[in-house]
Amino acid sequence: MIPLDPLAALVVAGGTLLAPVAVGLLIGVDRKANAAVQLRVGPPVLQPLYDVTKLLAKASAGSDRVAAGLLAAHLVLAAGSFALILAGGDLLVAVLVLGAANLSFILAASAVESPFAQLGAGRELVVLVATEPLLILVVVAYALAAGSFSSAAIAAGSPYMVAVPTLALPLAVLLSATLRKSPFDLASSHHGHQELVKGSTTEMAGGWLAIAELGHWYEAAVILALIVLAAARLPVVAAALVAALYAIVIVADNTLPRATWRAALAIAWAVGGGGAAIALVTAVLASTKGAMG
Amino acid sequence: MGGLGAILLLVAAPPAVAALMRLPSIGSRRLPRDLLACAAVASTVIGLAALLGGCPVLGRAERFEVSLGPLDPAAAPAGAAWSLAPAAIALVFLAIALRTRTLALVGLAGAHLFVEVGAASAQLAAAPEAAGRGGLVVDPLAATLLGVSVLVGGVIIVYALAYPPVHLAQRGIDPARAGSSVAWLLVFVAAMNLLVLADDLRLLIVGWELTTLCSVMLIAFDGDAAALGAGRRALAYGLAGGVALGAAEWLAGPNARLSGLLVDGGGTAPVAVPLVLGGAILAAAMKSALVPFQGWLLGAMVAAAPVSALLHASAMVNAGSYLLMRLSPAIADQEPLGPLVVLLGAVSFAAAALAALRQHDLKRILALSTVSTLGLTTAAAGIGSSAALSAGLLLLVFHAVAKALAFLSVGTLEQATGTRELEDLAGALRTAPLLAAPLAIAAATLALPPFGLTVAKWAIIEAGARNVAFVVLLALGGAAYLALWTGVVGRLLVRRRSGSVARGAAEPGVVASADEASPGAPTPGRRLPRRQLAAVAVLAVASLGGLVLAAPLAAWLTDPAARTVVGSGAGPGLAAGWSVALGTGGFEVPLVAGLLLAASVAAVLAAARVRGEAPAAYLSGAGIAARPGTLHRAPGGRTALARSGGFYWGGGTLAWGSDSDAAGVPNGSVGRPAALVGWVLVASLVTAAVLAAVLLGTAGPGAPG
Amino acid sequence: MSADRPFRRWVRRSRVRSPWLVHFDCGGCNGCDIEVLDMLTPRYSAERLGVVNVGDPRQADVLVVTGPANPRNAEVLRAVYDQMLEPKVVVAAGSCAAHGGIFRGASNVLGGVGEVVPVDVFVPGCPPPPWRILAGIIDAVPLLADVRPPRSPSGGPSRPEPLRVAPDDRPAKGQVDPAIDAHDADLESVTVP
Repeated sequence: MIPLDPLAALVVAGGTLLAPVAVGLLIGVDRKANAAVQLRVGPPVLQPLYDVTKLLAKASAGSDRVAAGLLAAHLVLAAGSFALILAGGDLLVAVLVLGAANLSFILAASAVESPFAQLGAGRELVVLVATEPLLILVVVAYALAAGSFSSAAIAAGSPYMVAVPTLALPLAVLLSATLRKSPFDLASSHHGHQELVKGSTTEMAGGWLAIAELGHWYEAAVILALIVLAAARLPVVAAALVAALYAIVIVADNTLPRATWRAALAIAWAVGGGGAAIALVTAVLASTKGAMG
Repeated sequence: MGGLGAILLLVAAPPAVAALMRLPSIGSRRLPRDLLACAAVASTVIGLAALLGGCPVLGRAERFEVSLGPLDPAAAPAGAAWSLAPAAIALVFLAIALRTRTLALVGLAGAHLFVEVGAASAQLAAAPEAAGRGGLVVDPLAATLLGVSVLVGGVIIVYALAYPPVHLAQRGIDPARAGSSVAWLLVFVAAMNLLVLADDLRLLIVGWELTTLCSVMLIAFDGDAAALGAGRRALAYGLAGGVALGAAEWLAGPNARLSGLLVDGGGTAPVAVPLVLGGAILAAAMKSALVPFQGWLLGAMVAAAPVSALLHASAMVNAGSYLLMRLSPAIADQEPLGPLVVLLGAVSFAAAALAALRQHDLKRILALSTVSTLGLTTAAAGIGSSAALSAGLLLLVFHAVAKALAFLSVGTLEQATGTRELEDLAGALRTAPLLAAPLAIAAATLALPPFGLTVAKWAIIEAGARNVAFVVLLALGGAAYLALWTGVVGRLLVRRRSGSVARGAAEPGVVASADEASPGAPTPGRRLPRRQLAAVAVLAVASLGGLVLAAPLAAWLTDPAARTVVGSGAGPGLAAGWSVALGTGGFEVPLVAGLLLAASVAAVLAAARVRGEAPAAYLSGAGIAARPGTLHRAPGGRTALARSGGFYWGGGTLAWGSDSDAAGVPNGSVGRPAALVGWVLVASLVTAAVLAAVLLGTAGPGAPG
Repeated sequence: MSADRPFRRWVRRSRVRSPWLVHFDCGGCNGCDIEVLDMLTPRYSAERLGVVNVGDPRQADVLVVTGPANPRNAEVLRAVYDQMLEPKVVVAAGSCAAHGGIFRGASNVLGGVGEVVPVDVFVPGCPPPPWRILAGIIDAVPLLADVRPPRSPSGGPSRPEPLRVAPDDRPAKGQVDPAIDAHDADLESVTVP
């Protein structure tokens, strides 16, 4: 029963507050890189932060009460999931909390009248079914490699060079899905111009849209944290891992079309699930060997 | 011994009251009937309290043998009676089978009778056991199951007292029969109590067969074609399970006990032990409706809501899980059986949850989610470690409360609106919040952390983490389970300015369902009996209590239960791993509960900040559904979009076509055998892969030295 | 006051740098709409200004209108405008949106979209080329920095008397109405940044 000491609590709180800024900047770089791929200049790196600030500063928008409440819950739960990882808590619990955050966002999307929003919510469900198993598999693979489910212990036991090569596949799928990039952008695309009707966010406006966006940034932060955990003690390697996976995701985004729901499930389970399963078997074998040796 | 009185209150009083209620002079009058039923429920509660007072098992891993006195099977005349009782029940089954005039059923009933008679003759031929040992055992495991059966079952029966007349009126059945349905429910609870207390196999089998009998009678109660068909199916599965269990008893030899089977097989020949356990596993799989055998439970949804609730939540299906948990150490010891049970449970969990995604009948969704959850408890029993067993038991308790709540609230919704189609109830949380909120609460407690179910899921994943196939199946099933409840609540939450909930009252051109056409259907908005609402409210509060109850329940009930079953050598319990300490792993239950509360507070604050509802955005498509002639209305006036449901699972393409054929049979039933074969293949492939990996792994380090 | 100045500056900067468009066609010949879409292609790289084309007026800051206002769509145009959250600007792209253009004077045409909503920038041309529409948006964007008080419909560029074309002095076939030509010439000199 060792509660967090004040300094650690301060670090966790500060990290959780700063996470959206970091993710926003990362997405800014991402937009810049995408523009470069398409031979455009692209928006400034600060663009995602501009967008969210502008939305927050909009005149107050009317909204559906239930949807607004669920969006707020989504933000809190996603931030809480990230804070749990940062505080060294159980990774599986953090992932389950992230599932609850997803649930509140999908409910917020399906609570409104627009059929487009409901269609988007239905597709969010498909993405949830496609990615949630990968999250759990990734966590279990880490735990088998480290011998503990605590993210602190997993970070301390890093780097996991044996398990990482195939674990990169599910992590890339998760990153792609959480950033709403092709082929997993069937519910709602991150590209501004790609669609006129924004699926799940159709009826969100002004500050509520900003809150939804911030919640998604926290979700992305959780996935990024999962990537970093592979080499948490070697910051350079961790940064390189994030960059490499991000590069894969950008290439996939610019080369693959939006998947149908069947294709999304098939790709996620075949590519991500296959990679995760191999990583799991590797981790089991490695730990039995370790126990015997 | 004080236990005897308590046991009589638990086991004998309800059937006695039930018999009283069948008397014509009482059965026709409402008030004494209700009073009697309430008295019976009260007697079971008092019995439970007395039993726990006499045998203090809460929080302690202790085990008390209770003798039935002169009625104990160890006593000579009573022993013969108990030995013959299963055969007598088998005769009743045969009579029912003969009445159905179904050859397969008669054959099954014949086989059942043969097995039971064989077992009984073996029992009678053997010398009676030395007296002095009780045939019943009270330990934390039995106490937990007993608590579920008595408390949840009691609430369901109180609800049922007000339910059947309306239900029967809807179906056009004589309301005078209502009494007998409640009587069967009482017998059901008593049989379940006997089952979980039994240590002697004969007592266990009597309880087992009686629950089968009650379930068949209750499922077929309505007497229409659908009910009779479902009853026949339930009878078939019940008989098959009975044959398996009877054969196990026969093999186990005379005077066999559950506790004996755990210690070197008791008096049973070592060769027969795997067969005995296999029979028990098969019977449990039939009873718990695990995946290849889920047919009867899906059919059983034709029965009234309280019956479904009792089958799914507090009695019937728990019996299978209970038996597996009780035998868990023996099963985990037998090499092929343990992994097989784990796999059976995991496949059930994943397959049922995925199958539930394509359903839109609320009761069907609930039934499949029951199968799914029981798969998880089964897997926990197969793993056999103390933590896993404790988690499985915790899962069972929380599932019982949440699922009872879900079924009763669906029953209430169905009474008030005449439908349980998810699409017809879309938006019910907006238009009828009081009726639909309990269902949403049940869904929340089934899906959200840190309610008991999620905690248990977490613990089971962590306990079985080294079994790759198991983890993969669990991850798939867990995702589907989460998506399922999100989808259901999402539909209930839809804002509909145009069109009203249920019956399509405001939507011209909607085809009336068969239910609406029946005479005596209540009008929407009709006031519901207060007792029903009270029962639902009690269960809702209990479900929400799960937010804080997981840790104390684990410490007081399920951990000691797991310790009594597997002994303290099988690793630490569940609660041992819990603390608020971060950095060590473990489910930070208080922390996550605080997070959930913070999210709720944020939600309320945010909702309070909303100033007025915005008009639906231009081009957002809102408000065009109610007008005829738009995209959303197929030719003939049927709502094409609405019928296709929020789920994009199966049923061809994403197109807005209907996903049920003209007869209303969901397409899901067409591909089931194929899907099953596919699942089995996938499962065996995965297992083969894992076994190969493990073999390689064990061979690896030894080879080069 | 001084403490919140950087914050205010950040907010104003954000508003100016994140103009999301909603594009509404009042029913011209669709020539301008093609040019608007052209403007959004990578060739003109509108995203470097933060421009994003959204379908939902409630999420948009800039309303780009093409085509003349007419009684059938005036209500819808007004609804789209009203649903946008402040701060917001309106850019009328093309001659029709400015004053009815070639449809001016038709019995079912009210005139430019300024008759229905307050227009901030008129972009001339029939159709205006993409870079000119983008220039119009660049002109309008500074107006997003602050929340402005509600505005009433602005009318056309020079708000001429409604053109009453008597049956007998309708321009001969193939001849452009001199009044319309004059307006376009005016706009060319006035609004180009």
